Amino acid sequence: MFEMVDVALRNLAHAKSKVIVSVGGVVLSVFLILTMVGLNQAFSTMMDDMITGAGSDLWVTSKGSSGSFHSPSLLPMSIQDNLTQVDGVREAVPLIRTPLSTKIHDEKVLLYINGYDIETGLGGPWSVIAGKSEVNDGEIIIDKALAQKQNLEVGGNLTFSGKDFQIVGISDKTNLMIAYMVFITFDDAKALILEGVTNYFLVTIETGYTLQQVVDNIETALPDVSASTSDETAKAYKDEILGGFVPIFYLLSAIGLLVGIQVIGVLLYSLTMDKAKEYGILKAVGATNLQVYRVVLEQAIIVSLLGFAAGAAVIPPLISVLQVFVPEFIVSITPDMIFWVSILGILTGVVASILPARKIAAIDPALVFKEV
Amino acid sequence: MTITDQSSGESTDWAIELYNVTKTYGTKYTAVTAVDDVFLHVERGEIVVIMGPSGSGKTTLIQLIGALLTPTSGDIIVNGRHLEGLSKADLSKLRRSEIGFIFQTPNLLAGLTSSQNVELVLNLAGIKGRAAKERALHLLEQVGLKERTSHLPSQMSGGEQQRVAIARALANDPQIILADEPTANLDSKTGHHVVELLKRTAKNHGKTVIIATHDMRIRDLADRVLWLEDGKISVRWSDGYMIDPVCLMLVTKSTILRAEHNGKNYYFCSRGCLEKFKENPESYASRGTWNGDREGSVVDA
Ligand SMILES: Nc1ncnc2c1ncn2[C@@H]1O[C@H](COP(=O)(O)OP(=O)(O)O)[C@@H](O)[C@H]1O
Ligand SMILES: [Mg+2]
Repeated sequence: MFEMVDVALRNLAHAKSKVIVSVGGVVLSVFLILTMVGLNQAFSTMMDDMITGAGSDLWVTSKGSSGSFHSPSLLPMSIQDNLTQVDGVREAVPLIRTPLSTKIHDEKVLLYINGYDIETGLGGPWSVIAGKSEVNDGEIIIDKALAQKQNLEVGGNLTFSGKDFQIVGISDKTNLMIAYMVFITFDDAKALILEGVTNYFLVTIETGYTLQQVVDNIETALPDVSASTSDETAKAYKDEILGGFVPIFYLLSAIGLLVGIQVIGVLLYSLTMDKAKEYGILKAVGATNLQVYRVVLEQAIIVSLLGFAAGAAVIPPLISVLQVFVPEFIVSITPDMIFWVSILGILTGVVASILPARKIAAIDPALVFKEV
Repeated sequence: MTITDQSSGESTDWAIELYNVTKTYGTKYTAVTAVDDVFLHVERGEIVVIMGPSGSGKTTLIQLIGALLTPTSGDIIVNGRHLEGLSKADLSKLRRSEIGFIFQTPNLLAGLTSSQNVELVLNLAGIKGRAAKERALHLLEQVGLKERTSHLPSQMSGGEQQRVAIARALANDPQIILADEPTANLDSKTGHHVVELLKRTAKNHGKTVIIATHDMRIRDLADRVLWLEDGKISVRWSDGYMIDPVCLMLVTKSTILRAEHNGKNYYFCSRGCLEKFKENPESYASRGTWNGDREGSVVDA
């Protein structure tokens, strides 16, 4: 291929403005794809963090509840002693996680309150970027995006449910998009839910036991609760919450891909029409349909790779900039996404080049005998 | 010319054979028979010039021989091979390795330099890289374009472009050259160069050449001149055709563009030629009014 005169590249060089417009179109399509895939990735990471970030080995919930937004878990505080006595359990501490709608600076905000055990720190913030990483009664650690959006800082105050909290820390990776995570002491959180209950118990196990052994022991001792490992809990979370969104992500990614194919396809179609006479000449002097098609295919791959490369280069920084203005816009882009996007780029080119293939086959080489 | 007995099977002496070839465009009411029951044999190394008025079927005939059109009926054999039995891919191969085409317009690829235009057809035939480059440069040197190898078509004159086209036609050293009015779009001086080049090419390389034209200068390099009219090859020159003394093109006697000078009639292809003639009849009149009855103009089909 490289030993040949590169007709494809030269044709493209002759149609620079068309190519630039098309590359722009492809960049938009890549933006859509990367955003969707990146959102999915970000959601998935967020769910993992929410569970594994709590730092426990096991999560105990009321039976039949996964503990997510959709099926809240409620457990009586009274079982804490029973749990602690189960064979293999080292610690069992309560964790309250409950959404709370409040107003900050006259704007309605949904907080996701974490009331955690400050002695063990289980269920506390896992990525504090400013201030202290633990709270005492009357103190609160708030999510970074909430802080940015509402102009809140360490040292400031946040009031909800008739109680003043002093902001002592800022936490990262706790933006749930529909809600912001905040962390307070378990005792402060108790006032927000029913008397004598908690949502979860976080359990750590003794050395010498497997996770599964302890799960079995707990469920045998306390038939009304479910115990599961952090990984299982995270997976259940993701299945339940993301499960509804994933098809939408895929659908929008697919639309993005179709837009890319369409844009390149239209470009190729138009380039093919522009160059119909030249392809006719090539055929007349002995090029096969396949040889001519290869020229178009090369053009397609060049343009789509250009578009996808420009997209991959421009979009991650663009997203970072956007996140400054829209902190909820959590999109995480990983190097392997870039890799897959370039594979998609090539595929897009190949698929798009099918559009003008019939046109090429139909070009009559006899037309080169026509006067200009 | 040597006539080989068909039945002996020695058909390889013929570069081109046409048996009762007819080409009809369109159907029913729109049907136009452009080539009508043509029987033609061209010997290897022979230079055949096909003349005839516009619309007589010259281009169609060239396209049929060049495997760019399928005849409505009849049989075409090129270098001993029946075109009818060849696949599309085989026809492409035949065109790129056994036939060199020269068109009325140079038909170069606009984005490629003259050298790349020649290289490309070598590439198509599997000759790549340096080998293709060197051969292209050599060919361009042969057609007198040594200084123009990296020029784009848009940077060259029409005559230069047509010479690149000739180099391209010769690239894969085809046995047969098919040219359709190669000088029609060139001014007379440039056309003259191209005619000379064609003559040299044909004679020096021993190619079989078929040229459709109404350029009388090309007629002079022919081993044989065929007269095509209404798709049929006729045996003699028709007396009804004259030469435009200004551009030396063939015109029909029935044209209304006529001038009298010193008691003789002159006929013209266009009003432009007529005007030129009127400006200075003496300089043109001497070019004659050859009407086809000259010695040697009688041709057999
Ligand atoms: N593609 C075509 N479709 C229909 N009619 C055509 C086509 N090409 C040529 N013709 C007709 O066939 C006849 C011969 O044309 P052509 O071979 O171009 O003659 P010439 O080259 O001698 O001018 C003309 O009447 C022309 O109008
Ligand atoms: Mg013609």
